[in-house]
Formats: sequence, C-alpha cells, structure tokens
Amino acid sequence: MPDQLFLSQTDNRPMYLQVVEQIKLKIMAGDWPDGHALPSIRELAAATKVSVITIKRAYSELEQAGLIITRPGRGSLVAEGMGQDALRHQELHHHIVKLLEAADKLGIDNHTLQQQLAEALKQRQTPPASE
Amino acid sequence: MNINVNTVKQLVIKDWQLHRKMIAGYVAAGILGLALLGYPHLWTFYMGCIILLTVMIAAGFHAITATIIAEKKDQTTAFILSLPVQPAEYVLAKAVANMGIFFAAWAFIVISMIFLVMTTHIPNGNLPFFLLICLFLVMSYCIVLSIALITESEGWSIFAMVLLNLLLNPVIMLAANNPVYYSHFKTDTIVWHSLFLTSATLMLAMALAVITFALIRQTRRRTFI
Amino acid sequence: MQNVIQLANINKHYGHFALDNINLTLPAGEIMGLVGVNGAGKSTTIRILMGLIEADSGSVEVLGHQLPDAQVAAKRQVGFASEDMRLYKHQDLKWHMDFVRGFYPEWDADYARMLLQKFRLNPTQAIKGFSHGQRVKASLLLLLARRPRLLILDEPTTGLDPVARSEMLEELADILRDENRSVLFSSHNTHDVEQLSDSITFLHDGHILASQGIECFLDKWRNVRCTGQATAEALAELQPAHVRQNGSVWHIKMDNFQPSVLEAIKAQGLEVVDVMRMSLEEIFIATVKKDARYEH
Repeated sequence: MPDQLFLSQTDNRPMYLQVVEQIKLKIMAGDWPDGHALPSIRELAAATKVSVITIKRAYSELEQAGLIITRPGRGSLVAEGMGQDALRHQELHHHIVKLLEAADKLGIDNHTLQQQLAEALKQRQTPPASE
Repeated sequence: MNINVNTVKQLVIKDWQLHRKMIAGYVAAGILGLALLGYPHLWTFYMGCIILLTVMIAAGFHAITATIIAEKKDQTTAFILSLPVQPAEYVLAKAVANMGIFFAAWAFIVISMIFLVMTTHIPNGNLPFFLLICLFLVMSYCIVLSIALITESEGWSIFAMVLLNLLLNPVIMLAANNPVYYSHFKTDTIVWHSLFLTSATLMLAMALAVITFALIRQTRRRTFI
Repeated sequence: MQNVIQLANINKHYGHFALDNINLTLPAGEIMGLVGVNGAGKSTTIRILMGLIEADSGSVEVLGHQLPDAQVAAKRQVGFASEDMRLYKHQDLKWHMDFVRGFYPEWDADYARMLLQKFRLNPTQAIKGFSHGQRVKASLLLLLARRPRLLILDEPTTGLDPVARSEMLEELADILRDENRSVLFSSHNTHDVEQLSDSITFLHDGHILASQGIECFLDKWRNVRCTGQATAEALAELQPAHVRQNGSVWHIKMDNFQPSVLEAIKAQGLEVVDVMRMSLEEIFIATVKKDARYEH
C-alpha cells in the first residue's frame, strides 16, 4: 500500500497546507518515524491526486519548519529528533502560545491564568496515566 | 510531401472493414441482376438491366456517403485526425477506399456482363451501347467523388448525384436513338464506331481529370480543417 | 527543462471570433489546465496545437516539432481527445484497440487490459451501446495505452457523472508519476482542473487573461472585507481587481495582495474585518470581470 494522504475539497485551507497537516499527522501518529524516507514528490502527488506543485510546496514548508530534510537527488527524510515526541511537544507549544495570546486579548494577567490552569487540571475527571 | 504508404493502407483497410457488409450486399445484388439478364425473356432482360444500373449507381454513391460524408457527420474524423496521419494521407486513403469499393462492384458487373453478352442469346452488337452507359457511370461517380472530397459537404454531394442521375436518362435515350448504336441491337457484330470511341475517351478523360484535380488540390492542404 | 508546448504570437481570425496573440508554454512534466467559458477559444487553440488548423500567424511547436508541417511526428507522441470526437459506433472497442495499435508500435497491451477492467468496459460491445461516460473512458483508454509523452484533452470531463469524472482524474493523476509526461487539459469549469494542475491558463474572448502556477493565483488573490466610510476613487489607488460596496460594508478583491495592502486600506479610513483566500473559481470570475471592465 503506497503512502497516500486524504485531502478534503471542502477544507478552506489551501491544498498545500492540508498536505502539511496530513504529513504532520503521519509523523505524530508514528507512521513516519525519525529518518523515515518520505515518498517522492511525484509518487505522493499521483497517489493523493493533487498537483506536483502542491506537494513540492508542502515539502518546502515542512523543510523550513525543520520537520524534514531534503538531500539533493536522494529525496526527503523525517528530520532526526523531529519524530513523534518532538512534534507532539511542538504541537502543544503551538496551543500554549495561542492560549497566552487569548489571555492577553482578554486582559487576564499571568497569575490569574496560572490559577485557572491549575483549577482546570484539578477539575479534569480522569487524568491520563503519567508515562 | 512524404506519403506513408503504410498509413494509407491502414486507413483504406479500415474503411473496407467498416463497409464490408455493404460491399457484399452490392456484389449479391449484382449477381442477381446478371442472372436475370441472362434469362431468355425480354422482361427479365430489362429487369436485369435496371438492377445492374441501380447497383452501379448506388454502390458509388453509397460508398461516398458512407466513407466521406458519414465520417464528417458522425464526428469520427476527429478520431482519425488524432492519429499520426497527415491531410494528404487521409484524402488519398479516402479516394482509394472509395474507388476500391466502387470499381470492385463496377468491374465485377462489367466483366460478367461482357462474358454474358458474348456467350448467351443476347446479341453481341449491344456491347458498345452497354459499355457507353457503364463508362458514363464511371464519369458520374468520379465527378461526385471529387466534389465530396473537396467540399466534404452532404448538400453539394447530393446535388451532384441528383444532377448526374438526371443526365443518365437523356444519355441512354440519345444513344438508343442513334443509329450508331441501335442499328446493331439485334445483330451479333460488334462495331466500335468512332462516335463511341470518342465519347468513351472523353468520359474517361473527364473522370481522370476531376479526380486528379481533387487529389492535387486536397493533398496540398497542410491542415485538416 | 524542455518545453513540450510552445505557442508564440498565435493569431487566428474568423468572422465573429479571433484568437489574439496567444503565447503559451508548457514545460515537460507539468500539467496545465486551460480554463475558459464556452466560446473562449479553447478548442481553437487546441486544434492549432494538434495541427488541425493553421494559425494566420505565429509559431507552434509541440514536442520540438513545428506544426502543422511536422504533425505526424508530433502526433506519434501525443494523445489527443476532444469532446466532439466520436468512435465508430457500429464497431466494438476491441476493433478500435486493434486499429489504433496499428499506428503505435509502443502500444502497451497489458496497460490497455488493466484499463479495460478498471473502467469496466466491455471490449466486444458495439460503441453505440456505450453511455457517454463509457465512450469518454474508451477514448481515454485508446490514448493512454499508447503511453504518449503529451496528453491534450479538450473538455474531457464535460457531461461526465461524478463517478466517471473521478475515475478519469485518477488515471490522469497516475501520469504525474512520470516526470517526462505532460498534460494540457481544458475545461469550462475550474473544479475539474485545479486539483491536478501545476499551472492554469485563463482564456477569454480569444486572448489569454493570465497564465501562471496555480499557487501564484491563490497567493496573490484575496477578498478583503472592510467596514467604514471611503470612496471608490480613493481605493482605486490600491489597484483593486474589483470593489463592491453596500452601506458601510466593502468587499475589495485584490489580485496583487501583500500584507502591506491592509495598512493602506486602514489609511483610507476602513476597518479590516477579515481577509479571505479565494477559490480558483472566484479568481477566474474576478479575472474575467476585470478584463471586461477595462475593455469597455
């Protein structure tokens, strides 16, 4: 089964961003571990049924984000240390930044934010088992 | 201009394959006509004549309609044009396929008729008259074919067919009332009168001229449309 | 990289229609969508590309061959299908396959068999019994099995049901695997071409409105929604593609969008509510309208 991404026509985001999201999802899910060779641009385009240029752009976005490394003539790999865990932390960090932005907009100071966060953690019924 | 003979051959075979039922039908009708012609009754003789005339006229016009006009009307031309074929090869193939169908029917009938006239009770003196009519049909066919090749228009082709068919009757009447022909209707001596030779040559020259003109004109085209 | 299609300064005049100075380039390995309303000149352009029509002026090069003179050499490597193309209705698909095969030594019989199954076509049924979708798929089979280097498809998806359309696009997507194969396909509908195309050409009224990479279109165009008081004259400084106003709500379509544009809009006294990306269809319509506006 060749690698294939599932894109949605009704998703408002540009196609290449959907491809970026889907690849991140694959990395986070552990399908593509550190050092995993990504399918060639043409291969992935054909399997996903999107244009070559869309996949090209997605790969270059991923490369800029440091998630993948492209070696000329030898295709792209998932960057070392950029596998599952790193990406999970990155994803969480992304949400934390958003939370802080929201707090700023609402005029909530750091102290209140910490209090509310502690409260929310306490209220959570079933905390996941720590690893 | 380089004509690829193989391409032309493939296109010709294609047209013959498409219309082999039609060709077989005309040959069968031709055999029926000849059988009637050879039957020793006056009415069967006339009947046979009419059938043979009809077969020769219809085979030519049907071939033109089926291979040239229908291809245009059914929009199959675009399919052929998408293949590695150039306009000259296409036109040449059309002409060859068409004349192949017509002349196969025509030659079969003419040869059988000559044989029949020579070997049966039919007076041999009729032969120049019969041949004159057959040659007139060749000329008519070539004119209509040229018009169809050049115009690719159903309207013009039908117009030409009708016009030439209307001419056929006067030609038969004129010849039948001319002593050069009718004086030998009941004799067994074949007389190749100069009037026959001249008209036969003129008709063949005319046929050759129009076909040559149409082919030269159409094979010079660089594009199809 | 070599260009598989190169049209330079093509003009063709008819009584009521003219192709006006068409320049078009398709690099090898790319897929280009040719979008235009019915009567925009897509078919005429494609016929010129196939050497079926001769342009009044300009030069046509397909796979390195000058057309129409070298049309046989070009057509040997081009798979062409158009909406107005029909197969012989009294013959079956098998007959057509054998016939086409005679012209192409590189005919791939295994691939043809695979496509027969995939498209669920009966090779021994006369074409006249085929549905429209089956006919289109049959034509596609006949040209894909020759493994052409360039596919030129004129309105291939017109009149197809959604399933047949998706099957058709799937087979086209397969061509992406090979970097030496290219496709030009036209449609009056942006949805059919945007998914697979690397570049898009908008054709309208016989001339090219825009021809560039699909991402360029999507990146450059934005619909900016604003509120406030301003005058259309003042906004014209921003060179918007299209401006609409209702009360204090403004819709400004930009075809040269940069973040700095938002500052300029604010400077005109408008508040930016949101900035929306536009679909290719919206971009196409806005491009056509913009063109019409400048013409009259």
